Amino acid sequence: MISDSELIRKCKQGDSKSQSLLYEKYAPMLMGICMRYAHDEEDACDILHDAFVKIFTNISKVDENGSYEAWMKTITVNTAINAYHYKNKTKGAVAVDEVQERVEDLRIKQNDFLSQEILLRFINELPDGYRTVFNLFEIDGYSHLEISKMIGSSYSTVRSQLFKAKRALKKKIEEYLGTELKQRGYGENKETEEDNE
Amino acid sequence: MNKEKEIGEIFKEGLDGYRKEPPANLWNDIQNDPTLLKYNRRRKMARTAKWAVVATVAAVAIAVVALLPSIPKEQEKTTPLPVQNPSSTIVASENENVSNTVPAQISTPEQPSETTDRVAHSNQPSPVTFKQEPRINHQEMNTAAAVESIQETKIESPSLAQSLHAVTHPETAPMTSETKPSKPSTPIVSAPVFQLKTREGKPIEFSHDTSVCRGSRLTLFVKNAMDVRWNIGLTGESITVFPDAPMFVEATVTTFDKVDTTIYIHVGIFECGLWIPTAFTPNGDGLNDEFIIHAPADITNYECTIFDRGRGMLFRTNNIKQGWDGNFNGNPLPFGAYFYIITYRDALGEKHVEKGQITLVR
Repeated sequence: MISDSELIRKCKQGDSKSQSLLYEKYAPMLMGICMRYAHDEEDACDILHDAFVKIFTNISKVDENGSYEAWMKTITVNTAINAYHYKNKTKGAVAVDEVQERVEDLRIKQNDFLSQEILLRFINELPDGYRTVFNLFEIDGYSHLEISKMIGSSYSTVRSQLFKAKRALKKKIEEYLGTELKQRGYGENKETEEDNE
Repeated sequence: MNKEKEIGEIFKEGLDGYRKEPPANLWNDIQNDPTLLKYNRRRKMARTAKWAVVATVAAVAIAVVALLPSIPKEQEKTTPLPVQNPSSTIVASENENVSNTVPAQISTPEQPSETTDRVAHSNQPSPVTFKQEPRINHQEMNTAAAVESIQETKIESPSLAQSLHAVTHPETAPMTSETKPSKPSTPIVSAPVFQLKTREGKPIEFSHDTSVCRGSRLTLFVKNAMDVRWNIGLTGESITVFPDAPMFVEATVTTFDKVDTTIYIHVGIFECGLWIPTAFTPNGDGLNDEFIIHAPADITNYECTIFDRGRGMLFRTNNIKQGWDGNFNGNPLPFGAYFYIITYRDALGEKHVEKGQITLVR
């Protein structure tokens, strides 16, 4: 098995075989990120394509001692943001309405029925702006300030979008748990049984 | 185990590290992306040129040995004179030699810089080193590219002589690289010099790890570098940040040696400030029914007082968790503007007084 630094070194020389190995190794992880930022799989593929072209053409700039993985993740996230900008460049600024943030409103019961696919579907269904901010803050750990710089909107817009995104997600989860699960026969009783275990 | 969890937490746990196999045809698309193809071609050309330089340097070195057989090898290592003088003429006279050796070199694209290193560090590169592993020409290595790169190296004969100097006399190399910035040198030739890793100019100075109050501004700097690129998207010696959460500010720095390095500056956050609402609606709907301050846990000596123009003091508390419900002596107060004075000491022990207006909406 070839080491990462060896692989990167060869990629720096424009070696297409090493590029293909690097792709094979990291594409699933980066595709996972793209799937979160994109509306659907097709968009995710476009983002991944651009991200890998950027990775390969900028690989000479990567820090030898740093984390290649983190660097590739950052490139992918930035590419996703660019795609978001591109998609939304025709739209005007989003109006900001003050939202009172109340953390306790955004709590729900931890539930084992929420699979990755379901969570991903909820995220994909969010409006582009909400999805981007939610991903950046909650999953990729960027700060409000960084996000406001990245997406070029004000601090308060970011906060309010984040809040709205969470509110929308909570609603989706509650609806899902309330209707679909009951239809499939997972009633209250079953949940309490699990409680006892 | 049905614990209450915050929405963000649920998604973070569920989707952090989420992986998905991309569709099979995607790699094909990426591979044939015009930008990438162009980039790969350029990289390969640059490498070919580098090989040509190495080969030329070696050829010149051989010629030096051949033309000056009277000088013993030990002397040659220590005296730069015999190398510097004939270099320009030799490059011209040894062209035949170069064109003989170079095609053998460029036909080994799988052999990257280890050989270059070996050549650069050995004082006497032998012809054997260069003729090893002759392989069948790589598809993309056309002869035109090879000829082009040889021509390129010929033009650069002064700096070539310089790099030859560095190769054959490593002990004098720092001097060579000190004079380098004054002349424009090609990236091709600067590569072997780069490997010597000499430090140019003053040492780089940069901001230490710092902690500030949330919401305050902070200036960070990196001095004595040729180029500084900050991870928050700015360039330049110093930047101003408004830290909102503890973070690492990352500066990618290019030194005057043309070495890239990354500096991490940690910015910590103290919870010093309060979040004070500007209005509240005591109508019993569960939303903003109280005027309540969101404050960090580590503040002390908290006191909140609320006034009115006519009646004076309406409400007072030392408990940060206690909000005002908009009542005075049990009677609801009307719509209007009220005033607060809040005093407290922050995490650093500094005393703060916040005064302002609050609107009661009914």
